[in-house]
Amino acid sequence: MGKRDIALRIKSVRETRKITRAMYLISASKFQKAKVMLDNVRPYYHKIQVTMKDILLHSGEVTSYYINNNKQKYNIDNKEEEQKPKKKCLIVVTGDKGLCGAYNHNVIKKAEEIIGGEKVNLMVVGEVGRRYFIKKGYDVDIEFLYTAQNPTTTAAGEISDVILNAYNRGLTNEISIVYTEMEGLIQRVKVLRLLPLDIENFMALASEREEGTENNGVQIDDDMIYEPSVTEVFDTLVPEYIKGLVYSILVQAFASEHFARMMAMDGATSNADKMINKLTLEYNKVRQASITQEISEIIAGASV
Amino acid sequence: MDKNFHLEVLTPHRKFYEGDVEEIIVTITTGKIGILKGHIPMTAAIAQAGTLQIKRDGQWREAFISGGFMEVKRVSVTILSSAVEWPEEIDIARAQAAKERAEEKLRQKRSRQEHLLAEAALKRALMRLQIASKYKNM
Repeated sequence: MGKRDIALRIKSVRETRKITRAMYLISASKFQKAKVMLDNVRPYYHKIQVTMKDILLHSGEVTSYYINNNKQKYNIDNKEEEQKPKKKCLIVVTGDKGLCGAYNHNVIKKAEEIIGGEKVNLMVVGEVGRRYFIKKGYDVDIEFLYTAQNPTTTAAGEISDVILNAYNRGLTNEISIVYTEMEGLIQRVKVLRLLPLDIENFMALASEREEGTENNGVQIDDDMIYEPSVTEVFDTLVPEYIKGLVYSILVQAFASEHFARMMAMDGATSNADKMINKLTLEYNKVRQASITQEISEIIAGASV
Repeated sequence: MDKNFHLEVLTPHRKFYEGDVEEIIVTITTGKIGILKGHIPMTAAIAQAGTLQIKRDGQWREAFISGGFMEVKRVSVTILSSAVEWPEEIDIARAQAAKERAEEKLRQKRSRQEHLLAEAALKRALMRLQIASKYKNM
């Protein structure tokens, strides 16, 4: 490579470095924002789980179609229901953009693993995942358009309305969600069944969380009353719970995405730095060589 | 005797209230209900659009509340709701816009589902406006 080529190369790497650096800063600030949101939603989410568990403990006989797999709200005939094939529904939370390491890839891989060869109705949050699954010819709900950016309770409310609606009308009888969980600074792809409620898992989860906090233990009051009725309270609680859950999942995914992008862009920036160093060294070498050559040519010319 | 009990009000965005209070009045799905210390343990669903009145040191304060539920225990009360706002926090312009939007939707003949949603939105907007205007000049 000539001197000019190397100089051009250095310039282009510098430009790229500027971009990756800017993306790093943007993601860092968004990640900070997401962390605050995450801290705010946690007590709420935790409390909902404890209350749910409370209610379940007090009233073991709560029979809600949210728990029972075979019953649907508007389908009283059980026998017929049992023979119906399972209609699974999967919500996949990906990012709207790439350039965030393996973040999107991991979620998509996990989702495909779950789908296997089955016919699963997909609801995708985030552009990257949506495009991928549509291209691959999966059964994607095209009306389900929610962005992964800026998670709000309104969006979470709409999403939970959509899934509860589908569930209540019997369009689906199992809804799961694939997302990236953020625990400390470690990210993990998680699969969670939203509906029907996974009682055992849920009980374990609630008690696990309680151990960490004091004074939040469940007090068993046998004479707990429900206004207006257990079923009604439970039926209000479930949508509220799903909404809280969806919101916290969106926030977690948002935080994970930006954390992943932060790391990826940090790596890219430092790679660019390394490359600039290497190229500068090479440039200097070439420059030195050309100067040496020129000098020796002049000397050779002078000594004639 | 200490008449106070512990109240905690949580929303997904923040801890709205935490402290010892004398009495609260909440709109639940079946109407308004007052809670004093020593109330029987109860879990109730909160109305889509209602008020939460809190009495502390003899002073009443009122807030807008929408959805969620209340859990009354022997020593404390916990309220979990998707939205709770003090009168001064209510965005009047936004509530006004929401009201007009909902009214417009109600005028158009839409599906039952949409009708119900619009109706709920209208109720929320009206309640917000009502509370906001009530305390506007205070």
